[in-house]
Amino acid sequence: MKASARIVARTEPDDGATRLKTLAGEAPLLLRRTSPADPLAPARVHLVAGTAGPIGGDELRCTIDVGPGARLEVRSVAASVALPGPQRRASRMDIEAKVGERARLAWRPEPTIAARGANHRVRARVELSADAALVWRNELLLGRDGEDPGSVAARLRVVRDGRVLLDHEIAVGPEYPGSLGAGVAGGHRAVGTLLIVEPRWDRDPPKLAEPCDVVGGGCAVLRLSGPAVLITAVAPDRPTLSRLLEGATPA
Amino acid sequence: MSLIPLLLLADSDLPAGTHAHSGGLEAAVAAGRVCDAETLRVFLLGRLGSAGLTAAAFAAAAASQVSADRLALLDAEYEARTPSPAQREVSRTLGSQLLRVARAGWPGPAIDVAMAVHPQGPHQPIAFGVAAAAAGVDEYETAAAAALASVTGPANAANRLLTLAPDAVIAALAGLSAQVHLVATAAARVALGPAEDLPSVCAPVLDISAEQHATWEVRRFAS
Repeated sequence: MKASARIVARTEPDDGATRLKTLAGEAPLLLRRTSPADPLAPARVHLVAGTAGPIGGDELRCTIDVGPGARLEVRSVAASVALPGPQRRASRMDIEAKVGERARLAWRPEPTIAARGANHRVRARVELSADAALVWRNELLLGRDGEDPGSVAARLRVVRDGRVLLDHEIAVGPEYPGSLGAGVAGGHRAVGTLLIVEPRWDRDPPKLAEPCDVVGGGCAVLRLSGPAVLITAVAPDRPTLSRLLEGATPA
Repeated sequence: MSLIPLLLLADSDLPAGTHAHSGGLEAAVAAGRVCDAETLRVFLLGRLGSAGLTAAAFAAAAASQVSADRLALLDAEYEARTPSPAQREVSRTLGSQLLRVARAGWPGPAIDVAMAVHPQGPHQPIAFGVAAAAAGVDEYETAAAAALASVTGPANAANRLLTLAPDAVIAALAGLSAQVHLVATAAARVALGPAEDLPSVCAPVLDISAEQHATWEVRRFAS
């Protein structure tokens, strides 16, 4: 199955409120506007899975355009479960996002679960203006409850003001030799990152949480070369992973 | 005839500082994640396919075209692929130490071009690629040596960190030969393409433990 979705957010010249100028999805990538009533709050969109999957062979594409001054939050209503498809083909999700001057994008979907036999690849490319802000959450779960892990590779590339800020891929599962062991996922079922780019940190760097160990997991806040941090965590389950990622978010 | 310089560059006795680093193994042993020959083998395999693949691709890319612009671009791309500040610092320290060795062994203008990439020295894989090119080693051989080095460093550290039979470590390394070749082949294939398409596979547990390890007061290895 091939499908694409597109979100365009712009500010109104009169009140500065963010309006969704385009909200175009097709199954299985359906979009719902869920903006709060407050017109000055960020616009919000939920991804709604129209079918099961992604299934091996699927090619999904999502483009996001946040215009100058606009604020957009993208979430999803449920975890997406990547499933194996015919001839062991990989499923793909490509995301292209552009965030303009003084604009802000928060990408906070529910986790991606790689079911047994799945081979899913996510590739996200984000282009930020120098004073744009970004939150990008990526949570990966290896297998459903009690199930052997599937494979998932998620790559995020962020270019800020024309210069690369982060290029980071997590590739885990049986397709990637050794990735389930002590060097990469460390035997954990949940692996995730939370990237935060905040232009004001250029002048006023945030105080960062110390790296921590929890039972069966760990977390570190990594200061990037630029006004940004990448929070990386591994955990035995999704609730612990989310708690580690959100708990380490700088104020 | 590049075999002899290749062997010299891949020699773990090369005084480029790598013997002081365990590639994350010391933290993995302390956490109990690596405790025997099998957990060591899987640790090395995972490191090879993540940090090893990325390093091999950048080394081969640097070896393929030594110019100030290309090296600066590769250095910025590698910086963006190294989210851990502790690992960025280690990488630049090792890069400048390696260039000093390369200058003694294979002097030439390329070493100065590489040294000028960053005040603290270029990232280690870029320095390795430049050193290999200066020594006359081709892209595949450069990638193979870099991929192999991503596991021989921690493997040598394993001899000091774990009570294993010495034969167990060489058995693990020899068992990884075919995978080292696959990684090197993949790295050399993408090395000539655009820098932004080079691999960026990370190892989350190594990133986390690198930050924790850097705060230890007592440790045997610098990383």
